[in-house]
Amino acid sequence: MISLPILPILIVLPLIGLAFIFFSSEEDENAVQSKKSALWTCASNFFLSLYLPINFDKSIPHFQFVNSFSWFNSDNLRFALGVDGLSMPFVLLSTFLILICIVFLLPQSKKNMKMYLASFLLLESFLVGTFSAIDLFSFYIFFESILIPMYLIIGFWGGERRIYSAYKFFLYTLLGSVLMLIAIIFLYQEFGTISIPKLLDYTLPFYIQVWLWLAFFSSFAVKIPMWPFHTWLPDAHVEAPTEGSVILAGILLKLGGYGFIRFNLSILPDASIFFTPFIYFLSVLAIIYTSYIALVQEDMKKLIAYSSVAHMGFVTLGIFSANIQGLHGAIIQMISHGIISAALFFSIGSIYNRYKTKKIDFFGGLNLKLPKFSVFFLIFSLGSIGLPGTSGFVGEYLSLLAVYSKNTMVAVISTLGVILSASYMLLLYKRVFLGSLSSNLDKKNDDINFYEIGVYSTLVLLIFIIGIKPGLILDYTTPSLERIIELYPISIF
Amino acid sequence: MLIIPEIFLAICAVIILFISPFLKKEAFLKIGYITLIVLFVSQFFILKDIFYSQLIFDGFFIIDSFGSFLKSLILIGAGLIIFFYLTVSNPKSLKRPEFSILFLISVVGMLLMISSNNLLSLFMSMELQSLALYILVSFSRDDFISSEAGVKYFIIGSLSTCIFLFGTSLIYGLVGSTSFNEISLFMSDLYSTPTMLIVGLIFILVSLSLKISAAPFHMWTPDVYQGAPSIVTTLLSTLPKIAAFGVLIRLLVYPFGEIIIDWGKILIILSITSMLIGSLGALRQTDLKRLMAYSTINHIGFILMALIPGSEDGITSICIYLIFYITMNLGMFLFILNMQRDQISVSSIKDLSGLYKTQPLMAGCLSIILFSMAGIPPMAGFIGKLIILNIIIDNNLFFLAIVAVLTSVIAAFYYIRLIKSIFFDDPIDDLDNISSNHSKYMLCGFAFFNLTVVLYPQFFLNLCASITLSLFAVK
Repeated sequence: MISLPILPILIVLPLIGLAFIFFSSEEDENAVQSKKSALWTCASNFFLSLYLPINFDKSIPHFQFVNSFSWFNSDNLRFALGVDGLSMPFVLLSTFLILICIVFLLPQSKKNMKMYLASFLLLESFLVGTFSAIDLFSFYIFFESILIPMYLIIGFWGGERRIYSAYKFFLYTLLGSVLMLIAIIFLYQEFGTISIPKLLDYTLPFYIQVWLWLAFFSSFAVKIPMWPFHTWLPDAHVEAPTEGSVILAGILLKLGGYGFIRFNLSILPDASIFFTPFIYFLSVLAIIYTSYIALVQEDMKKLIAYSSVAHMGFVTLGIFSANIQGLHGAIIQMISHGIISAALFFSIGSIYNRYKTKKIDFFGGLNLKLPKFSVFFLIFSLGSIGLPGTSGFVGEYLSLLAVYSKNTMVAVISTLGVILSASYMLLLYKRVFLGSLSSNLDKKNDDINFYEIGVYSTLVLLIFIIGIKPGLILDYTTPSLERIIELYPISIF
Repeated sequence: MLIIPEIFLAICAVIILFISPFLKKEAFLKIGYITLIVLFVSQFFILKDIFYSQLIFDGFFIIDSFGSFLKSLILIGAGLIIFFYLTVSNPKSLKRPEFSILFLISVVGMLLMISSNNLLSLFMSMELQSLALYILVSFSRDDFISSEAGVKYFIIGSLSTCIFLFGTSLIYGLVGSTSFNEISLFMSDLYSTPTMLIVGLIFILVSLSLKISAAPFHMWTPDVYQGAPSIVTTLLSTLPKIAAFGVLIRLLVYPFGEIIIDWGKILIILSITSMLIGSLGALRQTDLKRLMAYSTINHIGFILMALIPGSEDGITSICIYLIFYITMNLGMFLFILNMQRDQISVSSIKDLSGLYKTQPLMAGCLSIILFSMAGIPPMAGFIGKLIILNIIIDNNLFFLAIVAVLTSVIAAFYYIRLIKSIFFDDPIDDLDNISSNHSKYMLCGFAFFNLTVVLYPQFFLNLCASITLSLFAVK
């Protein structure tokens, strides 16, 4: 059977779409032609990416669909692409969310729409590249390249303090990842290979592992983000345009978790054990502390941004519990947060497009004006809280289960985070949607349009599907994760 | 005769000098085109003999492929700069035939510098290069700042010359010869290094540091870059750096290769200070040319780092980085040369504001070049940095690697500040559109090069690895 070079196609296709947009001569804010090209590109990319789960061999833990190209002139330095159970869901998440973003954009007009769409296509190419890179250098190149389109998205189309936020985003992430670059080069020097599957076979002395672990940690902890490296996130979210926030929360944060599993846990297991209490400490702090901060936010986007930090705390707890439930929990939590937070940011975008404000105080009784929308928002909020039946529950439950088997105290404290998340999300819903209609609003019904209904119902469907049958994803990931666990030494924590 | 290119260039420079008074109208254009042809022809001479390796004039000069490679890089750069000069609109004071002639003479000096195999020939060729550059820097003679820059450059340059001569005399006193071969023989017979030799080497290193503007010998750079006419700044920031690096590499690897422990430490200090000063100094700059001066210092620090192990891989990575460095710098300066408002040249960062709204394509190209300078993947600058960091970490210089990446983050801050101005700020007062199509195409070309290098880095790696072999064959 001739195998399709599916991953290179997924990376190059958005670039072709980008070229189409680039050479179209539309200068207006609506840019119908460019929207069409972007939609077609993203749609075909998404459907092409479905090739991955269909042809994926679930019984093999190794990388599949591997394509490698000669890059530098040595056999050890090859540019290699491939996916395993761990990365495949994220590739799908990327192509899916970008498609949803473009659909959401269709009825809107924005300044310089053409370049806005182009940035998203560029972002899609880089994201797929990052998740499917199986050598260290191309991983780093894609990982860092994401900064360029994201910097432009936040800085060009963002809110009032967009420039400050764009800077903060760029420099925080760059500072984290250059240290990772040193670690990557060191790994290459030490083993003479940059291929991730080959690196799994080597073990390093403990004291070297510690330094490398810290270097990788500096990059991913900023990205995911963990307390106290999270301060760029609220700023970036509040100022980014709706679709920018969606991608930021939906996919970019997952790069951190993905990196933790792929590098810190798999390649540096001894150091991971050594640092587990440290991670537990930061995660619990993130869950409790940022939840309290989310409670007092006046801006809806900021509230969701802080809640993201808290939810990512569960992910890191799950990852570093280093048992199969924990990793399953982390993966499901990341995918589910990718969908739910995307949905919440879209919702806030819908509200913002109508009333040009995100201040919670401005609103009240919005369910009278937007009845359909308020149902969707309630479902998303409940998903974010982690109500059983939604995808949020599965992730949090599995992560907590994993931590409970390792450290009861940590599990008990972090369970409080679930209660806190219920309080801030329900409070948000109460203040915005319930009660009597705010005096700032008129009685006119301006409920969501066709495109929005399409976007939201797809997301709701996904939330329930993953919530009820998480096995759909876990079947794919289990062999790869079990392999990581097998290599992991027994820990005392 | 393997030194034909230099002789040819020198004779041509003299001939052009003699015919220039007889040309009436637009003399500078005609002379410029002749210069371009001359450079082209000598490029051909160099490429013809690129794989030869020979000592000539009794070991006064050496021809090898390492030198020929750098020479051809210089000639390409020189051709591009002369082409810039011919295609962008220059102030009136620059439209004189002497410009091209002096330019040609300084190029001859640079080529001779690279092939010098003797401290004396090195000294003379360095002087030839510098004297022409002193005049070029103060070429806008009615301009107060340009003259001031010329004087500054001259004083610092003469100081550098004195220091160089002093170091040479110390080494001559010990070795009894100024030939690199003799010095090398002398070194290999030694049981312990005489202190005087190291002192002499330090003097020579200081002098060369002044030439490549490595911190702490960088003080002249921002002022001279700002004061000199932009086209001369373009020249200053690229070609003499290549020549000086060629000299530095040849000197340190061949005659002084035995005492790598001694000069390695000096280079560590030089590179760390350069990277720090280059990145921190640029933060508060408001003038693009001054900013480029600090950016140069930062890049120089990075390149110096790769010389510390003194290994073949290190030199290879320097050559690769130099190629990327001149494409980035030429691209950036090509834009600066074209920055005009109402036909008057401007060079402040504020003038970039809102460039995206008026000239989107140019803004895009410029940002690609800036991202490349900042070392953000997937641009060429990142590949260069990756290769050098690889060498550093290979030699277990972790502290240096960490300083390098941290300073490059600081440096990224000021590059993305420019990108911020280009994309996010509202235009204050529109710049004139770039009038010359040549400049537009070339800027696109530089941007395209910087963007696509990531696809075929092995080409540069192979090329540079094959030419550095010759440097180590002498040993």
